[in-house]
Amino acid sequence: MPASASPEIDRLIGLLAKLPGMGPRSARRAALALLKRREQLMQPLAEALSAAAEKVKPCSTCGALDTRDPCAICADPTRDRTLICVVEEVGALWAMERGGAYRGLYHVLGGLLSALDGMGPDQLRIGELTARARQGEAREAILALPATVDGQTTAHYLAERLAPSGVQVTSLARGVPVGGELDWLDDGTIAQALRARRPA
Amino acid sequence: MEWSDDAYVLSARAYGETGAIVELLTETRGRFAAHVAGAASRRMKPFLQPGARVVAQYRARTSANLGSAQLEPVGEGPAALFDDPLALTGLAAAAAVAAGALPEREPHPGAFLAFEALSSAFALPDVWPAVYVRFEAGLLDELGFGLDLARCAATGGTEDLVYVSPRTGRAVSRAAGEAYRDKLLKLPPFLLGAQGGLGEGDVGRGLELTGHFLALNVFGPLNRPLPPARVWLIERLAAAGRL
Repeated sequence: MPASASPEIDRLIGLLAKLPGMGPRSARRAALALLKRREQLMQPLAEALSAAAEKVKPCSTCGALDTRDPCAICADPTRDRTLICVVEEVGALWAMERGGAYRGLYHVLGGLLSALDGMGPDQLRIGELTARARQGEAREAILALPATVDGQTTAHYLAERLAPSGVQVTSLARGVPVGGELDWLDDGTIAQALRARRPA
Repeated sequence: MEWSDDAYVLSARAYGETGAIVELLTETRGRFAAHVAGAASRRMKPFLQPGARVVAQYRARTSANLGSAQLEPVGEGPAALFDDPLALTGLAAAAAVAAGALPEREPHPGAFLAFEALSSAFALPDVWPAVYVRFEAGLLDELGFGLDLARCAATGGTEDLVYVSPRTGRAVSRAAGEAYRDKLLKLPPFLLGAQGGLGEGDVGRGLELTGHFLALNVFGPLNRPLPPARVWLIERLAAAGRL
């Protein structure tokens, strides 16, 4: 059943409803908000969407999304080029950047090896990673992959593939999160934290 | 419909933004799928992994519906294997084979016990590949396609059983099978009993044996290949010189 009298508005609502976090009801509210604030919100949003659709592309080096190729991170001369942080998706790269604790380069795999989903090594950007490790200035590859069965299977596979390049392969620590209380942690996390304990 | 049961998670696929459809291998009800609300939460993600042991509380309006389940983790789960790439691959293969082979909502307590035994064995690197073969042999048994290794299909003798007929799954003695040795499958001694011992190449022969009958009797009739996870396991065991 159409949500409004106009097919254009229905199409807008239909498209908005496909976004993460949105359903038909919230899409209707968003469409209404946009239509009410046409000059301040709708036009700039349409222009931003158009510009992003036209200009944003994956970086041919690391796979991050940017309007430039190589991307701003790969082109930044102040970055530590001896470090490559390997992440599953661009969202993980953004999470690392938010923290500001890391100043090296990245490599976006584009997924994880998954036997269940039939995701094999050829479908990921693993060849590009090994080429970067062989040819570039990289000295260390940091595997920042999820602590899941697929994530760790991928990490072990990458460690094997990167070994001939001579690059040191490390992975992120697993254990108690900052602000985490033991009472609320699952058994697996507590056991991992206990195994990875260090002198206080 | 409402029940509570011990279970292993076989797979979890995202459903919507926060939920998941989780396949469980339950102790008394076999393979069961359920919707798990809040599966993307930080609390639940650690144990919605293949091989995680949980207590499941299932509820559905009617038995035909896909119900919802609340899961409570038991023990450390697959995180214990994160540092062991081979065991991790073995766990993924076992979950994929169980998920693909077992019919849904059909009680197979033996499959649950076999999965439980295999999960415990992953802590023993030298032993678990043989236990994995026994797990697959146990699955075949549960599904009604068990190997008949008690006596020779040709002579009825119980000594020197070294082959298996690829058609019937029955053991064949060395003397009776010698003329057909190229056509028969090799029977690793550890499948005959705990005292059989584990020799070089036995795990590979065992995987060839169970793989043949899984393909012939279980996955073939469903027009499906053996799970890629199992193929990966064999590749990795071969690369590690463990077959």
